[in-house]
Amino acid sequence: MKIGNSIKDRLLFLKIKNKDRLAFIKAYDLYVDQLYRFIYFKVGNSEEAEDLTSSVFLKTWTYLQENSVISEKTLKSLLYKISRNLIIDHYRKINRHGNVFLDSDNIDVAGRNFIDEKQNLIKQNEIAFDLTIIETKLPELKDEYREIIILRFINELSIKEIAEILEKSKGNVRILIYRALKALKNLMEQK
Amino acid sequence: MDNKQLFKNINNLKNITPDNKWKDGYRKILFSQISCGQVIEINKTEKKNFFSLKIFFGDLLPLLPQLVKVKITRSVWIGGLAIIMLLIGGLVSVYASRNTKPGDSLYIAKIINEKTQFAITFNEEEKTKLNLEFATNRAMEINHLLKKTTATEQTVTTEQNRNQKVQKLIFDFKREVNQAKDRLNKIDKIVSNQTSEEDQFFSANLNRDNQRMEISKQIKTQVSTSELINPQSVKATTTIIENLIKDNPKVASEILEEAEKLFDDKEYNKSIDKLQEVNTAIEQTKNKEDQNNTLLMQNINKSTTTVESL
Repeated sequence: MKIGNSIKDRLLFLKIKNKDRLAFIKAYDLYVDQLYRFIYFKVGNSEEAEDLTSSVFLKTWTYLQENSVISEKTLKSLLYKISRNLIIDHYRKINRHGNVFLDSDNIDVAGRNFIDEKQNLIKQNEIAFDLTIIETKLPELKDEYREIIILRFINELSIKEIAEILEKSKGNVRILIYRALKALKNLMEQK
Repeated sequence: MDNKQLFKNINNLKNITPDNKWKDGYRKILFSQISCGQVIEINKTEKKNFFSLKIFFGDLLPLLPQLVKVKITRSVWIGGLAIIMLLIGGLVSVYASRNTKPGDSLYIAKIINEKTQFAITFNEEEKTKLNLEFATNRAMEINHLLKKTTATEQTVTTEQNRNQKVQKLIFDFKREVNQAKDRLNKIDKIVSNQTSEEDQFFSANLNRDNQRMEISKQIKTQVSTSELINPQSVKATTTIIENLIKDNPKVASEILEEAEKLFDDKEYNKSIDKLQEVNTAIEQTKNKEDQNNTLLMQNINKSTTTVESL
């Protein structure tokens, strides 16, 4: 499955480099959810997350058409790197560094703004409860730890993929994950 | 809180997705945005069959200076590369085949090279030299074959093969030598025709003192009133002509015949030396001919000016 996805990613990447618009739309469908999630947990606001997500895709397309030499091996890592850069720019614009607070107005019981309407009520409540926990705890984490948790456990990226996005070694990533989890656990226990 | 519970909590966050309406709406916008960009780009860029260095040099392209980025059509590129590869291949094979012998893989390249050289040479003297060079090569190859076979044990079949090769080489040698002889004869005819024309030219001027001016076929004399005035120039001219006769191509063909005789007597090394002597003789003849022509022209000019002054 992972190999299949990897091949799919590479094929899409090649096609997009050759200006295949349909391939790019396919890539959009493939990655929009996880990129939105990643950005949302970083900026804490669904509207801003939507804006930034749309900027990510447009910037990626422009970047691929203008540059023949691309160091990123996969489309996924490129998308995430651009996302991170846009988030940094966003932080600079709003002069907010470090702590990000999830927009609590958007989290209601139904969680309509960002929870799929298809989810049943119980599930929705569960998510809402978890979000509440995370909502308070995740922002308290270091940015580095928060990021790694989002990438590894929420978006389910592999160690290799995370290493490529963060430009760190695999060993470093493993250590980060361990520390991030430990830190989050400690925070959760500190109720 | 244990890890399981923690992971379970975190896992639920995977269900956070963007609004479907927004997603679909933005998909259309994105498609139109990238399509718009595509149209502008097509207008800017050149024809579809444009081919750039990007395909070959890709990652290295930013390192190349801007001036080097030349846009050439694909067919020209491929054609140019093919020609360059052929040339390089040809040069390498020619160089490698120079010292090959019958039986070597590149021997055929040597033969092709010889034929090509011959085809692109138009001067008779140069062609004669090539004939001699090829004859020398054949003699050396025979020598090599015979030395090789005496050094190792031979079966009946290898001996037969060797004999066949040697026969072929002898045949080639004879052909080259005959061609060289024909050419030398041709050159000889040309030279003697030239001298007889010059004789006629000078004899037309002969009118007064025939006893002084003995015109033979081979000796040309400058017959004009200027000779009466300047006997020194006559002497000089006569000497030049005598030298010309002495060093004419007939000498070269005599040496060639000696070389052939030695070859028939299986004295291959001596035959090779004789062939080289023939080459030297032709060279010397050519040099002397050039020298003599120059001196002759100088003398004629001198005499003509003297006549004009009269």
